[in-house]
Amino acid sequence: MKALILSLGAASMVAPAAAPAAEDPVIELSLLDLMSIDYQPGKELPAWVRSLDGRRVRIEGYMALGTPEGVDKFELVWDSCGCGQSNVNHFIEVSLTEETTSFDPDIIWVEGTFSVGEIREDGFVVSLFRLKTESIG
Amino acid sequence: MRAAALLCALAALAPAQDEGDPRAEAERLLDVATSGSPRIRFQAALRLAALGETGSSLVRAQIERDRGYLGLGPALYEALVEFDDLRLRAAVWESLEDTGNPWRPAGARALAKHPRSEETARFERLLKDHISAVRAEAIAGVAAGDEGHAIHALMPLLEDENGRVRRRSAAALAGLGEHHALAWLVEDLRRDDSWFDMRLGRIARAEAAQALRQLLGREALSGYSTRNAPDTPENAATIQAIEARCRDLAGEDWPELPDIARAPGTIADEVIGVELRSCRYGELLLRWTADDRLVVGEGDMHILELPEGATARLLTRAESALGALGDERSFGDPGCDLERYHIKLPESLRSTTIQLTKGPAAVPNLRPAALHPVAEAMIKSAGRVGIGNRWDRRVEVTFEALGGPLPD
Repeated sequence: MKALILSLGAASMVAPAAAPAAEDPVIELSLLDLMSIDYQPGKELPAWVRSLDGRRVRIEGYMALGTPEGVDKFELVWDSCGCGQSNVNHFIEVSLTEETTSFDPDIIWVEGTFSVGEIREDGFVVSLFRLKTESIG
Repeated sequence: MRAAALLCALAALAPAQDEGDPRAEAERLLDVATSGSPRIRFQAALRLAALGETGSSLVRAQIERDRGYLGLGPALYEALVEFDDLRLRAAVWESLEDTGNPWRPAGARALAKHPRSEETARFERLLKDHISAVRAEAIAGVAAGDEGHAIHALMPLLEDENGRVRRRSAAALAGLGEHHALAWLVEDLRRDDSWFDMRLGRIARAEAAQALRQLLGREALSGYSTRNAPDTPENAATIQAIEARCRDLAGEDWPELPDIARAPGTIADEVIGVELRSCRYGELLLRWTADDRLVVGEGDMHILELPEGATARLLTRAESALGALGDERSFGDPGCDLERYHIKLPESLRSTTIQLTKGPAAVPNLRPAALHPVAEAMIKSAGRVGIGNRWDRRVEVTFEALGGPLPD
């Protein structure tokens, strides 16, 4: 089935934390929008961001520099140099379910199930956005 | 005030073991902020800021004791303005005067996030910085000042050589009521250019779309996908609709765009290029075409004729280098300094990329010996085109700042 692309504007109107369904449209998401939120650990995320939890999204960015070869996780960032990623809302932790990494310096697209929420270790938020995908587009 | 708000926001996350000893907690946070996992350094720095004088005194001592601000690392450096301590803010301003500072864009970004009215002139000086990322970050600081003054200062940046600087200034000007600047953002929605495999047009589209969403509302770009080419029926219809809306807002002020702001065309037959991005020396993009033209920068504005056979000679050296390097394509450790070669061999659909990366410190022998003849030939070829303004020296210095000096 050809995926229906919705803009982020439409995404902000969908019900929060909906379980993905076969007919769910793919929401096109921009890392720039995620980076522009006023994020502080412990502070509630904007409704439009929370509404993306569990949804199928498509997002573009770069593999973070230093991504090792042959692993099943990498950080997706907006800048190819990684110069602007000082905060935890500046990257998406991408998990690959059917392949492993092969570093690509070019801009890439990933599509998969998005999850939103703080994961903490030792009191620090180590992950805010995650995406599970089969492969890199 | 800001420190107090941060303290409230972060109070729930503070680990219990050091609650009774702020000094010990501050020392722990300083350690994490300077040498912990990169993912959490900035958070640790913000928590340190929330500790008030206990945190800032520790940071001041660290600056005095160590190697100045460079000993803080990029995360704590960027967070210095979050401390309720004007001495630390002054330290960031001072560090921007240091051309050896590898984090000047981050410093400018941090200062512009919380601009102070008395700093407008300093932000304006940054609009002329040699590093485009510094100019781009300073725009917010200028825009927060006196409206009339800001408009006057930002207008020249609409013709900046860097696309991101043009977009940021257009967005800031539109936010100040200069609706004619929306034309720059609308035009960038139409960009579909690339630089070898880097789809610069798509990046421009994404940034322009985000700026327009913030200015006009999220629904304004409903139906527009940066993933798809701008001439798909849905994208073209959205661009048409948004242009009509922007023209309405601008009225008679809707401008004729300068050439540099127009969506660039495709550069045919690019066969070899180099991307040089230095924390200290700025960026330089050079590509050579099969018909002996040198294209400087991102777009199609600066195209120079080369002697016949110049590109072929360069490509021969590059092929030799590729042969010598085998399968190795990436050298060095992650960092903001990047020297990346793009080589499109005959019959190849995509270019082959070789990249050298490093942090602020010089790395001896970062560039493999096999690449030296390529770098040397690029410096000679690009340096001789006679752009002036010490262009030849700029090319050489940028190469040397990244991969290191070339052998005599």
